[in-house]
Amino acid sequence: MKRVLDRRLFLRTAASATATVITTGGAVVIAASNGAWAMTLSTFDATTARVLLVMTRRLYPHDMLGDVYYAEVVESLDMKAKAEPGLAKTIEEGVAALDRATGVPWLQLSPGGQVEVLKAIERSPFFQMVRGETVVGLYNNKLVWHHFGYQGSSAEFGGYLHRGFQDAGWTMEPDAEASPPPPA
Amino acid sequence: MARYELNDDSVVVVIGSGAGGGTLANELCQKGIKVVLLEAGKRLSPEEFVNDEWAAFVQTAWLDKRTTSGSWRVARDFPNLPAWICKTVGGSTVHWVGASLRFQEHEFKARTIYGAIEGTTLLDWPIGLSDLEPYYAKAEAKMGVTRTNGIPGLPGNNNFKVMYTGAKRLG
Repeated sequence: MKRVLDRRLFLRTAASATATVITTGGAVVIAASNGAWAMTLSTFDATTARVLLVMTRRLYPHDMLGDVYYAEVVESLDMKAKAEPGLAKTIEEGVAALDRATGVPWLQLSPGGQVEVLKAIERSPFFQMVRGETVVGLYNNKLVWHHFGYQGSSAEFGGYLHRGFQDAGWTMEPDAEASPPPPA
Repeated sequence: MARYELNDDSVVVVIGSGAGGGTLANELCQKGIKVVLLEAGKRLSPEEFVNDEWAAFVQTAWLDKRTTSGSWRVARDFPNLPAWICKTVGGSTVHWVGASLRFQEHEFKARTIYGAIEGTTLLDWPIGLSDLEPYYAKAEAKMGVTRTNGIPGLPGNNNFKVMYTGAKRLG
């Protein structure tokens, strides 16, 4: 992905932008509506990119996450499909099956209708592959952690013990028998 | 590393260097018994550990394909997912923090207490807590289990604090 902003600015603006899929000069591009980022795909056609962008969000919906994180999963799938023709075919057939399911193009269904169709195909290799790629690609993205309030690696900061291990301020404070003080 | 003749039947071969195998091999060695300890994983030094869940999974877990069958969810959704136990010298004690709870008396009698559960083969254990207590005591002493043998308990994390609060409020 081509990022045009530094990390902090990215999290504040680009990370919440919605994405559109455009075809420009023969290339399929997923681009932020505000121009903050763009990803050029090598394998998928525009419809496949649009379907996967929405499908990944339907599988793991988070209102707080902008399209960029789902787009990164699609970008990663696109690169894998380039390397593995078999995978590209699975995806192509899977997208076609989504459209066939109700006779209405899947993207034109309501979000609830889209989920119904996904539930009906959840045993298929296509669904399982996209689910597997999304669960790793989405939740292993360090910028996504930031949105969920997870601070990530603590080893280099002296460890987790003093960096979020027991900082929940709203609970009762356990006594020393229940929760002994950390070793000095 | 010592070498033994393949026909030396005084040698004990222990498979796996985790909590069970590692402890057993150590005890046998202390008694002067010849031991070969087999471990499928490599040795990891503290410097090599990665403080990142997925990277650590790739580094430390059994990535060999697992097989599973039946109708449970894991068999359907993750039939080949590696088991998250450690394939390394020390086995899963490598990510063990020292807490090991004993079974409680009623947990040996799950069938008696909870009754038959359809679709399961739930049984009572053929032994009770008193049968295991001496072995628990030995294992806790050998492995340095927290809250035994004068070893302090672990500080409670946020999960613990939530559970503690809920339990206290329920009385």
